[in-house]
Amino acid sequence: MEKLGEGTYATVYKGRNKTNGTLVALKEIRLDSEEGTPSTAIREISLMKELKHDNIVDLYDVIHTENKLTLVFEYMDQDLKKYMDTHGDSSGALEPQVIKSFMFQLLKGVMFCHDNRVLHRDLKPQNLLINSKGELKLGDFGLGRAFGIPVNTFSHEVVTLWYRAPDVLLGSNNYSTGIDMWSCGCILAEMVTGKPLFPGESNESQLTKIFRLMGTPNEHTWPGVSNYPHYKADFPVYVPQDLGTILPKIEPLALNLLTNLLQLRPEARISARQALQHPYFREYV
Amino acid sequence: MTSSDSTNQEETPQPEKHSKQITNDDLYRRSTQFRFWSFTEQRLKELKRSTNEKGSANLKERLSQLDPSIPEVSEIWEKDLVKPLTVEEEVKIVEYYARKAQGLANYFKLPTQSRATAISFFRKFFLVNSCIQFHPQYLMYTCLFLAAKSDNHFIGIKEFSKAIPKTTPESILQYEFQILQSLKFALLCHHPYKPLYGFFLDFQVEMKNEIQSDKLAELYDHARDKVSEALFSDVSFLFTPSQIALAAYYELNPELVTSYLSKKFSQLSTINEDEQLKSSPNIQTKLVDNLKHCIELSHASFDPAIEEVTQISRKVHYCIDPMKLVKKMQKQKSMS
Repeated sequence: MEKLGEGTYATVYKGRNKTNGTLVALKEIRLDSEEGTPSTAIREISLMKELKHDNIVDLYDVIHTENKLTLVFEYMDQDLKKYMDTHGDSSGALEPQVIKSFMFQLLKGVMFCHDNRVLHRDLKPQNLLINSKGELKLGDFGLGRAFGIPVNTFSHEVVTLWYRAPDVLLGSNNYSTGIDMWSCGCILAEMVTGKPLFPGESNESQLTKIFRLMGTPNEHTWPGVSNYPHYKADFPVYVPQDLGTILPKIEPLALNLLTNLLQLRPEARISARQALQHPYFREYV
Repeated sequence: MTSSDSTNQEETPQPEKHSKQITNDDLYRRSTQFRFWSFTEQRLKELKRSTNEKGSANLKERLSQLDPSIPEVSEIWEKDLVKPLTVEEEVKIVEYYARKAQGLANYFKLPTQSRATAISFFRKFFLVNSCIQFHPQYLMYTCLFLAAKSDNHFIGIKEFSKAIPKTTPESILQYEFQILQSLKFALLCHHPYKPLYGFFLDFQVEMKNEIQSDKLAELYDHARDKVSEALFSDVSFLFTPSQIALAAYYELNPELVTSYLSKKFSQLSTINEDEQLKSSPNIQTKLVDNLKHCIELSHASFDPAIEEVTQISRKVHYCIDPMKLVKKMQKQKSMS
């Protein structure tokens, strides 16, 4: 079997369904834990069973063998990161039409999660899967979780640093759907340039990279920001830059959507539902 | 190798057009709880019977495989000494241990939701598996452990097993996959507690002229108790969480709920364009009938006595391992 990837708690292989010949992705989870089935697997399985949607990778089956659990997923050819490496221009940037199509599908998948009170919490190009038909689906819900009231027990050690929202970086533990929307913004920018927008190395450098572009927030621009656990009064002060100069190739409507996604204040960020109604997607509606 | 049921039977709901606002009802109908674990009364009854029949057939086979050269085995065969449980006996012993699960959940200080999830896992397991093959006592421990894990209130297996006499981590974990499989890997449960709180908030706004806030808080507390008690009945397989929650309020204060519904329906008919709602003026009556039926069924639980359960439990032990009875008979003979 061809190995497709190695995750934090599982290895993914390419396989074939013997009865109908279709390709599948097999996510093997070792059951050597003393605690039985790992909670990450339990979480992923239980969320994937609820989330049946065209833009979310389909969980077909779960198979138990002596010392491992295998999740049988629909097969997707590659992830968005590899897609950009192979289909992008020399710097990895994608065609405007492709960007729009992927963005629309990403937002539809995210809206479905949010409608079902599920946060993905780990959206990044490596977790967005693309098939030969150009369909994009959200995968890897190992960190996803159902939300409802209360949400204040969430640990802030989730979303991969580069796509992590500023409120999470500032130590918020009652974040909500906005954290996924921020990630969508980072992904949109990355598809336009082929490069990650905020490639930080630590919590602090991540925040600095964000502030350098979006401006350092203060009580005036973001009431309540100083109450966040990791807020520092001596953050270097930057003024907001014009996103358009960083992304000269971006279409004006895409730029407008991006601005709405990359709002520092989580409440100001556009929702998936609103984003799908943005004029940028006019041709799809 | 074991494999879950093929997912082919699952209805894959079509994604909604993004412009359409999705109602909570749409959401619920897409949930696995609705798709896999909601039945008509008739279907639920059939399911219990067929599970019991499956268990009986399994027992018959087990008995036929006993060594005929043992005299006690022929005696068991001739006198039909190992009888399968009846459907009613299964219901009783399952309910008894479901109540035990509640006590144990309280011991581990699990939140209400996780406690309800454990009871739900346990009752679902025995809807598709018979007590003739699995002793509910052991399965109850594993269901509780799994519910805590899947609801993000993880309890370490060592700590868990230490608190329960005569268990080991292995004895608890051995059923984990079997439970996951029986649940069709659908672990997300919708309990009536959230809608119960939702109605409480809505009553505060809509009914503020009809009920004082301290009375309403009292009503909410009592309704919570009703909902917790209903976990031991079949209502969660037959009604939606909102219906169960509203039924709890209705049972305690029918006047308030009736007037609340009239108010809500009159608001609906002015803003809602749903033709079905407009053309069914008796929909409110139907809803109230539904609530009354839910109340009636929520009381159809047994809370069986310990003596009766001990007797059923002994039967379960012999069904699972008929050689236990053989040994007991041999011992009695050697003593006499």
